[in-house]
Amino acid sequence: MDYSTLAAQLFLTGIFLSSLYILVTFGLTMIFGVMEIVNFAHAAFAVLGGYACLMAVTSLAIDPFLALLPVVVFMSLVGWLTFDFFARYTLDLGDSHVVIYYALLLIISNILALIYGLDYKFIPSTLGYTQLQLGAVKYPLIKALVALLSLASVAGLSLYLKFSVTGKRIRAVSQSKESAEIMGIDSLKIRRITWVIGIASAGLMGALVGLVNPFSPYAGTTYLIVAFSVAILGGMGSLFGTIVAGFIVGMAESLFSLILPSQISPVIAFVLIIVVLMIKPEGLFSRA
Amino acid sequence: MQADESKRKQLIWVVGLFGLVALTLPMVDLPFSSYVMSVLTFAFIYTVLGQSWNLLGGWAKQFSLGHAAFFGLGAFATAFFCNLGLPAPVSLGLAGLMVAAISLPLGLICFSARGPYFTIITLAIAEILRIVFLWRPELSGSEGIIVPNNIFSGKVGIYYLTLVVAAASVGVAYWLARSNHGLALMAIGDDEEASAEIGIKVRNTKSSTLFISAGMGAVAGGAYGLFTQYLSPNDVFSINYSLDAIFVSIIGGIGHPFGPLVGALLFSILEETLNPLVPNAHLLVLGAILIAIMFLLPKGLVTLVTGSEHQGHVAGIKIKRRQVVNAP
Repeated sequence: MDYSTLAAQLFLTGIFLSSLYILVTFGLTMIFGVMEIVNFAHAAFAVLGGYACLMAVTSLAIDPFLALLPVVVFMSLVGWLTFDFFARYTLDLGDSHVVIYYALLLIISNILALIYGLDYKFIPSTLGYTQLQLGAVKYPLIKALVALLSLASVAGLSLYLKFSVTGKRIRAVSQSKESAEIMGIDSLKIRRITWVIGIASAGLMGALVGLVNPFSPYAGTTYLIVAFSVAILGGMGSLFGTIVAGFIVGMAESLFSLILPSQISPVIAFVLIIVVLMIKPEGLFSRA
Repeated sequence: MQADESKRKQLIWVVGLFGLVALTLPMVDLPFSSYVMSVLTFAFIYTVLGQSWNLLGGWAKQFSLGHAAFFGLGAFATAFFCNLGLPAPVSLGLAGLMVAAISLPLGLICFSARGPYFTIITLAIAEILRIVFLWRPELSGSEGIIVPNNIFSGKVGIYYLTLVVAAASVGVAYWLARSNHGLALMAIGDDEEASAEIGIKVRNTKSSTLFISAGMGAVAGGAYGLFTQYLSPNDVFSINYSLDAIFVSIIGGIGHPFGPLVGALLFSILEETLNPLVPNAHLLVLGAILIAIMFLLPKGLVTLVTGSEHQGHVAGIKIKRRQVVNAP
C-alpha cells in the first residue's frame, strides 16, 4: 500500500471519527454553556439512542436511516421529560451536580443493561459492506453516510443557532443569563430547549454509531471521555471550539491508531484532557 | 444545648452498640455469621475508601472521581510487598505510605483544575492507570496477581483487620474535623478564594489532605487485596470503586466522620443481596438512592441520628444563589 492511499484512508477515518465526536459533544457543550451543567450522563443518552434505533428497526422493520427520524423524536421526548422532572431541579446545586449526573448515567446504563442484557448489539443495515470507490481508495459506504449525516446535523444545528430566533436566544442565555432575562428572554424555556436539543443530538449520535459499531449498555463511558476531551479542548460552551477540537481529536486518534495498540488509544484522550486543563483550562476558544 | 446533648448520647449509644456487636460477631457461631462477616468486611473496606474520599470531597468540596487510582495502587503495592515476603501488616503500611507519596505529584496535576474540571482530571488519571496496568503485564501479572496466604487469611483475620482499619479511619476523620487542618479544609470548601485571602495555604492544605486520602484509599485497596487474594487491573482500578467511595460518603453523610460507615453498611448489604440476583442491580438502586438523598437529605443518612446539622460544621451540599448557606 503506498503512502498516499494510506494517508487518504487515515484522513477519511479521521473525518468519520471527527463527525461523530463533534455531534455528541455539541449537545454537551451547549448544555454547559447555557446551564453550567456538566452532563456526565450525556453518553448514556447516546447509548439510549442506539437502543431506540435498534428497537425502531426491529419492530417497525424499516431501514435504519429512516428510523433515525423516530429516534430523534423519541429522544427529544426523553429530553423533555428528563428536563422537567430532573434536570430543572439540579440547576442550583453548584459544584456537586457532577455526582448527581453520574448517578443518572449509572441509572440509565443499568436500566438498559437490565432490559437488553450485557452483550453487544448491532443495528443491521441493508447497505452491508458496500464500499465506495473514491479515486484509489475504498471506504465503506455506511461509514461515509454516517459521517455525512453527522456533519449535516451539526451544520444544521449551527445554522439554527446562528440564524433562528430561538438560536439567538440560546446564545444570549449562554453568554449571560441575567442580561438575557432582563431583555425579556424566558431562560427556563431556553434551557429546556437547549437540553432537549442536547439529548436528541446525543441520541442521534448513538444511533449513528450503532450502525457502524457494536454497542452495549456500558459503551457510553468511552464516548463520554472523548466527548469531554473534545469539549474541554475546544472550550466548554463554545460551539466553534467544539467543531475545531472535534476535528483535532478525530484526526489525532486516526493517526495514533497507526502507532499505538488499540487498547491504549483512550489514553490519548485522557492525556489530552489533563494537558489542556493544566495549561489552558478554558480550552482553545472561550465561551461564544 | 439540651437537644445537642441528647443527640450526642443517642449517637454514642448507637455507635457503642454497633461496635460491641461488631467486635463479638466472630465469636458467636451462628449459621449466618460467616455471611454477615463478609458483608461487614466489605462494608469496612468501603468505609475506609469512603473516608478517604470524604476528606477531600466532603469538606473541601473537591469531588474526585479517581479514587480507584489509590485503591488499585494500594492493592497492587500491598501484593507486591507481600510477594517479597514481608508480613502483611508491614506490606499494608508500606503500600499506604508509597501511594501517599505518589499522590504528591499527582496532586500537582489535579489541583491545577477546579470544580468539575478537577473531577474530570481525577477520572482521567484513574483511567490512565487502569489502562496502563492492563497493558503492561510486568505491573499486573499476565493473569493478575496472587496475594500469598498471610496472617490475615481466613475470614476472621481479615474481618478484624478491616474492622480496625475502618475504626482508625473514622478516628482520623473525627480528629481531623476538630483540628486546624480540618477547619482550613472546610473553609476551602466554603470559599476557596476567601480562604486564600485570609491566609490559609490552600495548595498545601489540599496536598496534605490528598496525602492522607491517598494513604487511606491505598489501605482500603490493600485490605481488599488481602481479602480476595487475587488482583486484576480491570477489577481494582475499576471506576466502580471511585463511585463506591462517592456513594458511600454522600448517602451516609457527606463531611461527617460516621457518614462513610453508614453508607458503606447500606452499600454492602445492597450489593450482597442484589448482585447475585441481577448483576449490577445494586448500582441502579444506589444511583436512585443517591439522587433521592441529594434532594431530600442532602447531608446524608446520618442526619437521621444527628439532626440536620452535623457536629461542628455543616458540610452539606451548598445551594447556590437562592438559599442561604447555613453557618455553624
